[in-house]
Amino acid sequence: MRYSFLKTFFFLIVVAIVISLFDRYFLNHKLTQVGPVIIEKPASYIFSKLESVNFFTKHVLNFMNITKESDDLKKENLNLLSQMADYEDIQSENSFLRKSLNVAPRFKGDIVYADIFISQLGPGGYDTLITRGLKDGVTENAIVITEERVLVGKIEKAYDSFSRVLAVSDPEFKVTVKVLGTDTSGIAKGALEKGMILDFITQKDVIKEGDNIVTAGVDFFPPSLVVGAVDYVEINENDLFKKVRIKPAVKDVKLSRVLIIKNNTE
Amino acid sequence: MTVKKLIIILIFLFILDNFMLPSLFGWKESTLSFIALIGSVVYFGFKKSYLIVGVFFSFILELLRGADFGEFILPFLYTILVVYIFQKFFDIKQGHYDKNIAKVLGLSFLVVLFVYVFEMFYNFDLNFKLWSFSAVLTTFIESFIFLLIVTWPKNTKFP
Repeated sequence: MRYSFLKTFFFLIVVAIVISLFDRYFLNHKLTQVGPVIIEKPASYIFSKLESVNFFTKHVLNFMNITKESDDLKKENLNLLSQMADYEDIQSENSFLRKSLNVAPRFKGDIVYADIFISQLGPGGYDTLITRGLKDGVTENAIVITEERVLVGKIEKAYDSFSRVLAVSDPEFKVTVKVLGTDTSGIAKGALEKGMILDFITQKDVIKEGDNIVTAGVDFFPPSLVVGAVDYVEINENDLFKKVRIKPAVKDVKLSRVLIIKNNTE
Repeated sequence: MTVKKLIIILIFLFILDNFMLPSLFGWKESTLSFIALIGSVVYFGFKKSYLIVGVFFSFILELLRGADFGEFILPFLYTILVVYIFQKFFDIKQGHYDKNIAKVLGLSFLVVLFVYVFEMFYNFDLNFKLWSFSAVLTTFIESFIFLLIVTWPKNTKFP
């Protein structure tokens, strides 16, 4: 009786170790993959509906600011329309020059839609699962974005029918970014609830709170994906680099539906 | 607390932590599932039934989070071993015998400590990813609320 707890305990440890070794070497980690396959459809439905309720509630609570926000958005919209016209001109010129000089397009990934059905913090970082996997052509390191071209993360591990996403706020996540409208660039790393930290910003680099951060396109992330906005800048003349914190844009958009830019191996 | 009631509480907390908190409230920094697993054994004591329920729900969590088999079960078991050894030296006043709010606060702090022991066994290093003031505070508050819920009988004593 006295040692019955310990006996049960050691029995469970031995059984767990044996089954996990069996799963690893004989089943190729398929023992627990059945769980996400069963729950992904109902879970993604629940996730999307509850997220809609969340956003609706935020809008209702923000009701008092609606008029001011509407005016600000109209101005921003006009500004963006003129920028888009310039962008289309440049894009068509760029495409023509690339064809003429026989240079491969910068971004040539196929897109596939996916739903997020689990997204919560775990002991190893965020556990974010999506409803697409190897069967849908999704492979590791494929980029995950929203329809608004906001960077969500990259595929950390792809299973048959689902995949695990390494979110932008995960400590293991890194991306080379630049500050929109300036030459300042650095490496953004995930910092869990703090968002992201931007490293290698020297004291001479131009950066301020509110600046928009986008992917630089010099690593395997496509360029001009929205990462976030600068939330906090600390300047200390005794340090080599400034301390910069980014609020990820992914916190302000709906995540229930995302796009995966597949890796095309040509 | 019967095993049946514990199972119902764990099911409710798992649904809350894995489905409702991230989507309905946008709260993706919760460790409630792990607090519930470890807190159950810390508070209710070392009974075979609670251990088996804990292992079963660790397996359910692996299914929910797409983790490999043993990824949560083994760290949970190692953590319970640490709690057992800790109990031998420090004699945690487990809830069956004491329902004082001050003791619940103390137990909440212990549960937070064991959640970090769990993380240490999970990552096999001392580089705690969840170690920040806000993360510790959040874990403590969640742990306190969990223990308050499970210890809410009629004769709970307030200081």
